[in-house]
Amino acid sequence: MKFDKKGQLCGQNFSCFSRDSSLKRSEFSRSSLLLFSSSLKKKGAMGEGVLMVYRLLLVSFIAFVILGISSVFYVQYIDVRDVEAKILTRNVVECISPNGTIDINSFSEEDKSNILSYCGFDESEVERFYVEIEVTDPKGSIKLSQGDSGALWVLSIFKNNRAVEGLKKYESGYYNETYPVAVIREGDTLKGIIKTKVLVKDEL
Amino acid sequence: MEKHAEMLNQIIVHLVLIGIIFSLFLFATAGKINSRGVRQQVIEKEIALLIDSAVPGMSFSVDRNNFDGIIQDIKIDEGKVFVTVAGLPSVRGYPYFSKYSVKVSAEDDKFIVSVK
Repeated sequence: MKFDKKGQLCGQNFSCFSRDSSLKRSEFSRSSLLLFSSSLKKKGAMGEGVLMVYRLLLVSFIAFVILGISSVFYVQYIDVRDVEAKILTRNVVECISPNGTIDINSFSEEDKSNILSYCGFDESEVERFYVEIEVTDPKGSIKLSQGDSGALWVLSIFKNNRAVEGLKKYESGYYNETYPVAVIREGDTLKGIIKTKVLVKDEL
Repeated sequence: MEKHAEMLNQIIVHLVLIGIIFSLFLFATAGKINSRGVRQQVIEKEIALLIDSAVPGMSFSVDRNNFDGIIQDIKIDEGKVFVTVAGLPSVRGYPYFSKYSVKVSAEDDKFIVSVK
């Protein structure tokens, strides 16, 4: 390439340009290069931002995983269901046999299957309990209960050591006891016994 | 020079954000390790069992400066006991099954739980 006499730039494969126009062209190409590089920088900055979000999400995820594992590791389970079963047994026995005397005729058929409601417990508060009381005297026996009797079947799995170690914490609270009682049946006062089974299913 | 400054800026932002995440994580882990939750569970269950055992007319007091930590608040709501221990508020509470009405009153250094 060389400038001819007229001050034009001539090449082998392109036509001649004046000195001014070649200058303009070089300025144009420089500015377009700058524009191109600035758009690249913008794209790079955007990419960097996206990468930062990804890194932060990764760090947060790792932190939450460690926190989750440590919270499971440090959790303590304090089981008071056996004590609750014992307290409920005492409350129910005191309710149905005040002063150690139980009047068989005071229970309707509905009361017999809703003994906790009969004793004044709120139904929503005793959903996790199963209560079974058997009153026996020389002339016969009656059964009073409330709750899901299937819970006793679940308890038998734990009692027979059929549950694996990890499941043992789900074993229900249980208390059974037999008390001597005076039974009033058809006007007669008889010696009898109360057999209680109280089960607390789950701990909230 | 400008590039170096940008990189340094980004690194600082990264470090600050990662520091915030890890400090939150450490605070949460420390909360678990110092067993405030366990002590809260113990107090809630003790109070619930005492309420279940109580008969009408009975009341008992719970010291604010308890063996299991400083008790800030005791609440009874919808058949559950909620205890705030060492700044940790109770979310789940523990249910009691007493059929009697229960009230809690706060005094200077203790709470009085009455069963009526």
